[in-house]
Amino acid sequence: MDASLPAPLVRAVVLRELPAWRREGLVDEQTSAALARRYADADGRSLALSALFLFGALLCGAGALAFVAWHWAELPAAARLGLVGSAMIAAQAGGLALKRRGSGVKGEALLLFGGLLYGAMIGLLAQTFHVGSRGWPGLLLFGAGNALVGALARSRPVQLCGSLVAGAAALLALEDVGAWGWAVPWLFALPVFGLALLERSRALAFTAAAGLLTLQSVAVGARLHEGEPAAFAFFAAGALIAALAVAGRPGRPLGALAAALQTAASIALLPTLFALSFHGLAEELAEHTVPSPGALLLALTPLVLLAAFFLVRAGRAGLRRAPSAVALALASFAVIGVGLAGDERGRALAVVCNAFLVTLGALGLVTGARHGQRRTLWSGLALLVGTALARFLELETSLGWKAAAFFSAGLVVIVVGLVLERRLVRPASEVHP
Amino acid sequence: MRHPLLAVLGLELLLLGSVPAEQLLALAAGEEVVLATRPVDPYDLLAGYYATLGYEIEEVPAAMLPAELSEDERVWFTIERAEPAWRLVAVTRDRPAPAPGRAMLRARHRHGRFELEELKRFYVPEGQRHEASDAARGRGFVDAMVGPGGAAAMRRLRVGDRVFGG
Repeated sequence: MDASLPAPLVRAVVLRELPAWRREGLVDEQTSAALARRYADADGRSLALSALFLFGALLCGAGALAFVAWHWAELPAAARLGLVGSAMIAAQAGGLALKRRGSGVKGEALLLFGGLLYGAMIGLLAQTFHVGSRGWPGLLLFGAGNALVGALARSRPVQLCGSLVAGAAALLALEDVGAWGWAVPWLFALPVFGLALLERSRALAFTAAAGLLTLQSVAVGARLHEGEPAAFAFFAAGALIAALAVAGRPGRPLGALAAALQTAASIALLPTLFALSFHGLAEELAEHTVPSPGALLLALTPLVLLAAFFLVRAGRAGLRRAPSAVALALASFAVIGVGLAGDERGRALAVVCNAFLVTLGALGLVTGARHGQRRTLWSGLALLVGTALARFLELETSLGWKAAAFFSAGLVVIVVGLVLERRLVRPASEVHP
Repeated sequence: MRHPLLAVLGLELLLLGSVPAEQLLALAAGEEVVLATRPVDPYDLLAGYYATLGYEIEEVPAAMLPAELSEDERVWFTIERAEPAWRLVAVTRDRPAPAPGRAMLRARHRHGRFELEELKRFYVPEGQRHEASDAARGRGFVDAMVGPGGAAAMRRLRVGDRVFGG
């Protein structure tokens, strides 16, 4: 393989050209199958490794943020600033150097870690000089700074991280908007979607979708704080759409519709699942919702019937093809069921939501890696990251312990990535001597 | 771009420098004032636990109120040296002229009250947050430096014999 060509490009070209090579008799059936297997597998492995390194960097960065917020006073302020600042510079210099040398994945991970250390520096400066009367200006500086740094360093993960944080900060800044809070995420997302369409950029569209999910989670969270049980309306709509999505089969006219419906279901359901994965919010919702057997029956019966009808129609093949749609539908039923009945509803709601978020994330990661499906893999990673961050935001343990836990978990993920890299990604010469 | 690292670090340094710029200026060239506190104990995602402080001078006597203040309007507090804490002598829309023994602070009129925004959060280590919160429920004092433009930077929080920060 030519060292000057990026591996994903080579894979994309080979996989695109393979059917034509076979038609023209350049490769036989067996060789074609072997090539397809090799490049699909390699792509999946490479994607899985990217996901692991970035996830590890994110966990380590979250650990660093918690460590700074812990506010260890044993070191003088200047030493703390020097320590975190030099770690930030080292991470970013190392990340850029690695990218230049062709280790793009590790370079991106190191740049992401550096970007999070930049956030830790903002926190440390605010802490040292007692700056600020509100939380969002610091977050906005963190997000906007990383979005710009990501653009300068041509790092999509840093840019994405920055955009999401900046969007969330912008939403927090508009906390006085009141009833219009629901519309704010769409105001941010629609122009970006439009730009993505004009530029034909999938990355931009993904950024907008991810931003929309984050912002809507915050908006749903804000509504739940006000004690509105309207989140169940999202679940009802999401469950219906997810059930419809299960019915679709690739290759049929309904297949495209099903894919669109599944995306819509994700947008409707995931933010609410995410919001309710916070124990406090779930407790609040449970307190403000008075269940009645009639409401339970009304919410569940048509959904169960619809799901049963479509599951039967889709059959086993449908279930295998759309495991996340099935999981989404199941999540909706479980959340509605648990949310409307039982004594410990708040805690049960939070546990169910966390379990489904992790399941959906892991499903996406495994399915994406196995079949070399980028979108599925990154969606899975985004869910895992979102869930990890949700637990990061909850203050149920000491910040010192939280920092240690996140940093250790990040190191473990990175070590697993390094081991897998050695074992799985063998040089081409070893595969085809 | 030929030197992306320099561009990245330059941008970050610029943004990071803007975080404490006014506080650094106040600490370097300001005058030290003492204010009496009346407190509150929350958490910031990036910077950690802090005590939210309110000040006796934020309770402005009706006679000192400027006419028809709008929401979020910025005003100037003129404070004068006194014992044990500096006291409020005037609230004005325009920036007052400097005078010996006096200092000016920027405040904001919000929800019918006044807030000294730059002196709201006093960050404390996690291990001291309950102590600081409990201590801050009593009458305490903040030692702060006030810069020539009205920007303020806190140095320490004193409650009885307990001193936080500094």
